[in-house]
Amino acid sequence: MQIRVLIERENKSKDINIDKSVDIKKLLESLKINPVTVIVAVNDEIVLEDYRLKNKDNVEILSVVSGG
Amino acid sequence: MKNYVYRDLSSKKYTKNEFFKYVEKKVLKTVRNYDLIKKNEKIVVGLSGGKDSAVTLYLINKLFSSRISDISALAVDEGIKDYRDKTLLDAKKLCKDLNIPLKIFTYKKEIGVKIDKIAHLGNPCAWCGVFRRYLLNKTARLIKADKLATGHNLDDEAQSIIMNQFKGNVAFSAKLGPMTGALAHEKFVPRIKPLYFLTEKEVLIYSKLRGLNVNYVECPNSAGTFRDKVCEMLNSMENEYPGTKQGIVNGFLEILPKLKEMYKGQKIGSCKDCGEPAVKNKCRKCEMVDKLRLKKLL
Repeated sequence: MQIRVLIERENKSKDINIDKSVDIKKLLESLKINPVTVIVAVNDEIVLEDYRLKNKDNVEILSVVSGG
Repeated sequence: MKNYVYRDLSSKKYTKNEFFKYVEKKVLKTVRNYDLIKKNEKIVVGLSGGKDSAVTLYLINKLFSSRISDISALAVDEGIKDYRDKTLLDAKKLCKDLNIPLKIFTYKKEIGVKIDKIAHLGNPCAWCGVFRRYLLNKTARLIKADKLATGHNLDDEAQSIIMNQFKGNVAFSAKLGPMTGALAHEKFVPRIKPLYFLTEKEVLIYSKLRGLNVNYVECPNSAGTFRDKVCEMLNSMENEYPGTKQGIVNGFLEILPKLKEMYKGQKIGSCKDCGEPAVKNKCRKCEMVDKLRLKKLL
């Protein structure tokens, strides 16, 4: 399965090959991103860490920390 | 299948509409429990164009417009290229959308210098923070606001408590809390923090779901600062021990009345240069201005 991941803080997107059973929690672990510091949207919808990724999902990892 | 957007500390899941209610209930409770907004008060919001102050403006307007006499926004342009110029565009658009008047003040005009010009001196956040507090208080008072609302959230407060603790600045902590200021002075406009019990993550989710068109970038000067390091440490602790930030703030609120009592006796006068409130004969803003003059940056 392939997904597209945009990491907002690094301002870069990349295609990643993943196993079928990967959820957001596992994806963040593999990217070494602390889940407290981000929210994740898949195909423009905010999702929780237990969301199971599907082929061709478009994932955005948005940074929580910003000036306000 | 329901689409959940948030899970709280007790693992309860929320749909979009449930999350809106959860956030708004928290803000209503904070305002009510700490008596932050009284009937017929004139409220001004310190608006940066970032998510926290945008949500503050949006929620005060949504939840309290029938209770207050007036709402407006104040923005400060510190002169940080490619950052503040962008967020101010969002601030203008948000105010236009909500039909709320916005006034913008610049460091260049009010202090005489842009932050970009003095960032090389080191720790720009220290200069920026002092100038911003001075300017927001002064301008809020000039427009006769009863309260100045800011976008400080639970993360900001937990960081400030820990930073003061690490540096031994107990007196600074006495100024924290949902309504700031340990000392009363006729020239101080009380500052209120309606988002006090919302985490930064909750504020971000709310702003995204409400479609608030704001800039989500971080100030370029904040990387590597002491606050940044404490923020990282707390986020790491929060991941391992969920509820850490809430625990820090709840514990602090238990001792805050004692702290305020301890520092109540401290005299506060007026700055001999600008007339603004000052603990010494000069306020911190004027002390900093003197330093910049010595360095021929003003």
